[in-house]
Amino acid sequence: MNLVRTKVCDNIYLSSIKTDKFKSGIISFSLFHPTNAENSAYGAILSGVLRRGTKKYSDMAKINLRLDELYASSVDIRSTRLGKNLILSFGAELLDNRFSTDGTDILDGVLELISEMMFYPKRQDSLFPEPIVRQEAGFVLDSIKSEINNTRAYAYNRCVEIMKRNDADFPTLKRVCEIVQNTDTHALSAFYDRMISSSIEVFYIGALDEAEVAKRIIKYFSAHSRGLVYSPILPCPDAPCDFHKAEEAMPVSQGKLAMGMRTGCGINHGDYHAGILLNELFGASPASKLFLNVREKLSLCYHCSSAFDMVSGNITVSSGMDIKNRQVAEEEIIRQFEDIRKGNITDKEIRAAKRSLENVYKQIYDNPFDIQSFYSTRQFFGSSETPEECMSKISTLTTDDIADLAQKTVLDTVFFVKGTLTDNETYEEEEDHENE
Amino acid sequence: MNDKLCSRIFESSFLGESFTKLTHPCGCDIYVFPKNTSSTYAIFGSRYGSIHNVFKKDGDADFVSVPDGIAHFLEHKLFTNEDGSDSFERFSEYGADANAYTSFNKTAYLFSCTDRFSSSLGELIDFVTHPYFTKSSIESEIGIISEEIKMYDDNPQDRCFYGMLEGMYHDHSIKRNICGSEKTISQITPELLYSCYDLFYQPSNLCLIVCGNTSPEEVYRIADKHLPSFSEKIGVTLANENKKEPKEANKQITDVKMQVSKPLFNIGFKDTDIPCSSYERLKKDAAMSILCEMLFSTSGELYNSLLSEGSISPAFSYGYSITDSFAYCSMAGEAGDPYTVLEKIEAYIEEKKSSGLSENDFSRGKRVMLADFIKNFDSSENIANNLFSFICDSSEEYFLSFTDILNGIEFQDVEKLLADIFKKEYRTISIVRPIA
Repeated sequence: MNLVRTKVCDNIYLSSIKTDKFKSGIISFSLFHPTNAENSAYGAILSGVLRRGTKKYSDMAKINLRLDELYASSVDIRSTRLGKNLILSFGAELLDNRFSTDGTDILDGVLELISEMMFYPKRQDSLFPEPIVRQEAGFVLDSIKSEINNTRAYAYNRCVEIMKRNDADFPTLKRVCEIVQNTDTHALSAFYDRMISSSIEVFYIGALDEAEVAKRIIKYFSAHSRGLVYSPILPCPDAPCDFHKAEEAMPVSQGKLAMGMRTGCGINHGDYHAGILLNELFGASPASKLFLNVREKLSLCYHCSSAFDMVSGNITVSSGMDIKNRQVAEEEIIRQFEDIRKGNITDKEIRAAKRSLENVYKQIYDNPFDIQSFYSTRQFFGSSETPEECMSKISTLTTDDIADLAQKTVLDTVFFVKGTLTDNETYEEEEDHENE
Repeated sequence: MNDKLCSRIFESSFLGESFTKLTHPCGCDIYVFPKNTSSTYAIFGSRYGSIHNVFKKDGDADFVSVPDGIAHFLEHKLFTNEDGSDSFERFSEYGADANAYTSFNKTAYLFSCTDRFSSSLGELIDFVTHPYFTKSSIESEIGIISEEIKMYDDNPQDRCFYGMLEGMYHDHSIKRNICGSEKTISQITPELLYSCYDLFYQPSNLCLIVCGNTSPEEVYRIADKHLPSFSEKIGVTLANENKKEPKEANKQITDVKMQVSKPLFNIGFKDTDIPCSSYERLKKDAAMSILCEMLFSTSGELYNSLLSEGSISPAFSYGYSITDSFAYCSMAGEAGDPYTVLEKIEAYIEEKKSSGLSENDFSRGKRVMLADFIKNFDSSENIANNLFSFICDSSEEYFLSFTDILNGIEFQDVEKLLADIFKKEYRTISIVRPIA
C-alpha cells in the first residue's frame, strides 16, 4: 500500500491510499488551531453543534437519515488535542460503491454531507442558535462529569493532568468546565469562523485513486477560501518537575493506581523508538514485566499495564487493586522498572517485546483506522516514517539502549483513587417497586 | 489433507467471501476463512459459557449444579501449563497477541499474528487440550479473579446491565455475573474444574476458527498434529432454563445508587418465545434488528424528540440478542429522569402499534442492517468472532447467507414482532443513579 500526498487546491492537501482490500473505506477532513482551555472547550461544543442541522438538512434527524441512505455511512465530528494543537476532524466510514445496489455514489454523497456540516451549519445572522449551543454545552459538561463513572480512566486522566501542572495552556477539566458553562453563541460562532478558515488535511483509504478523490473534493470544498497552511506546534517532551503524589477517596470497592513517568524522548525529540520498546517491555503486553509479575506472580491486580504517549514522551501505568495491597503493588511496579534500569532484561523478554511490536506494526495494514492513526500523527509533525521503518529502528535497539532510557526516566506523579467501600459493603439498592 | 476427510465449502458471490468447514476425526469442527490480510486470527472455542452450570451427563440420574463463574475460571486457568509455564509467555515469544473471553454461552481462546502462525496455532490447541489444575494455582487465581469481579462491580454500566437481567429473569442463570462472585469462586476445586472440562471441552464441543492469510490445507495439517486422534463422545444434557422461565419480567424496576454523575438506565423486554430451529432464530434476529433500527435509531423520531427536549444524553444504544436459551430486546442510555424516558418510549411504541409502522422506515432499517453486516467482513477478527457466534447461537450454515435472510424479511414480520415483543409485563428498567 502506498501513501500518496497531493495538493488538491489552495490549502487543501490529500493523503490517500488506493486499495480494494476493504469493503468499506474512510475519509477524514481535519482543521487545526493551537490549543488551550478555551479552544478545547469551544471545540468540544462545536463538534456537537455542527451535527444539529445544516442549510440543506435542517436537523440532526435529517442528517442521520441521509447517512442511512448512504448505506449506513457514519460521520464522526471530533475535537481532539495533539500536543499543543487542536484538531477538529470530520471522519467518515463508508461502504464501497460496489455494494450500492441502487447506483448511489456513496463517496460523493458523504462529501456533500460533510461540506454541508462544515460550511453551511444551521445559523441565524452568522450565529448558531443559542438553545442548541446551550444544550450541546450541557452535553459536554455531562460528559466531563461522567468521567467519575469509570474510575480507571479517571485515575489515568487525573495522573496525566497532574503531570501537566506546569503547562499553563493545558486544558484541565476544571478549566474547560468553567469555560463551557459560560460559552455563548457569539464566542462559539467567532471560534467557528476562525477554525473554518484553517487549511484542511484530507486522509482517504479506499478503492479510488487520488485523482478521482481529488476531483470530488474540489466539487464540494474548493469554493471556500482558506487561510494559511497551519504550522503545527511541535511537541517538546515535558520538563521534569518535583515529584507529586495525590489521592482521592471515592465510594468504589477497588483502588485505582496511576503512575506517570517522564522519559524525556518523544516524536521529534530523542529516540522515541526506545520509548516505544521500553513501554512494551515494561507493561504493554502479556509478556511484560508488569503483567507477569504484578498480576500473574503476585496476583495483586487483574489489570496492570502501561502506555507510552509519543507526543509528551510520558509513560503512564494504570492498575486496579484491593486497597490493602496498594503499597505493595506500588513498590512492585517501581521494582520492576528498577530492574529495567539495572539492565535486568533477558533475551527472551526483549525478543518477545520486539516481536509483539512487529506484530502490531504489520497488522496496521489490515485496518483503515490503524493506517490513518499511524500515518496522520507522524505526518502532522513532519515525519514520513512508515511502519516498516519504525519496526526496523526498533529491531536494532539493544538492552543497553532500553536500560539507558530507563535510567533517564523519572517518576513524576502517583495518583490513587482510594475505594472506600469495604468487602462487606455494597452499592445501595433502592426498595423494589414491584407494582408501579 | 486426507481425501476422505469430510469438508464443506460455504460461499457468497454477493460478499465475495467463502470458507471451508472440516471435521477432524476427534470430532472437532475446523473452519477456515482465507482472507488477504497481513495477520491471521484464530479462535479455539468451546460451546460452553457461564449459563451452562446445571447439566446431566448421559447415564447419570440427576442434574448437577456447579458454582457460578466456573466457565470463566476455567478460561483463566487453562493458560497455566503442567511445567509451570504460562501460554501467554509462549505466544509472546512467537510474537502473537493472545487473549480469551467467556460469555453467557461460549468461551473463546484466541490469538492474532503476522508471523510464526504454525507455532501459535499449535500452542493454542495444546494449551486448551491439556488442562492442569492444582489447589495452589486455583488459590492464586482466586486473587486475580476477585479483583476482576471488583472491577466490574465498580463499573456502573455493567451494574446497570446486570440489573436489567436480574429484573427480566426469575431463575435463568443469565442473571448472574459471568465471573461469578467472590463467594462462588471460593468453592471451586481442581476436581470441579476437571469434571466441567471433561464434559465441555471434549473435542465435539470445541471448534477451531481461523481467518486470514492461510488455507484449509495448512490449518488442517497443523491442527491434526496437535488434536487428539480420536475421542469418545460423552453425552451431556443442559437444563432448559428458558422453558422454566415465566414470560413476565421478574420485577419491573431495579434501582441502585453508585458513583455516577447522572442516572444511567437499561430497559429490557424479555422474550421467551425462542424458535427451536436455528434458521427461524436467525430470521427473528434479523427482523428484530430491523425493527429496533426503525424504532430507536438516531435518525428516528423517538431518539430525536428525546434528545432535543433534553430527556436523554446523545449516547443511546439498543439491540436484540437471541440464542437457544435466552432472548431479549434492550435500550440503554443516560437521563436526568429515566422514568420519564421509559414512559415516553412506551407511549411511542403504543402509538406505533395503533398507527402502524412506516414502510419507508422498514426499507431504511433493512438497508442499514445490510450495510453494517457487510462492513464486518473487512476484519479477520470480526469475521472469526461473528462466525463463532453463528456456530454457538444458531448455525454456521447461514453465516454467509445472512444477507439473504435479511433481504427476505417482510414488513408484516416486523409488524407482528412489534405487537408480540413490546408488552409491559415483559419489561423491566434498571437504573443506576448518583449517590448524592
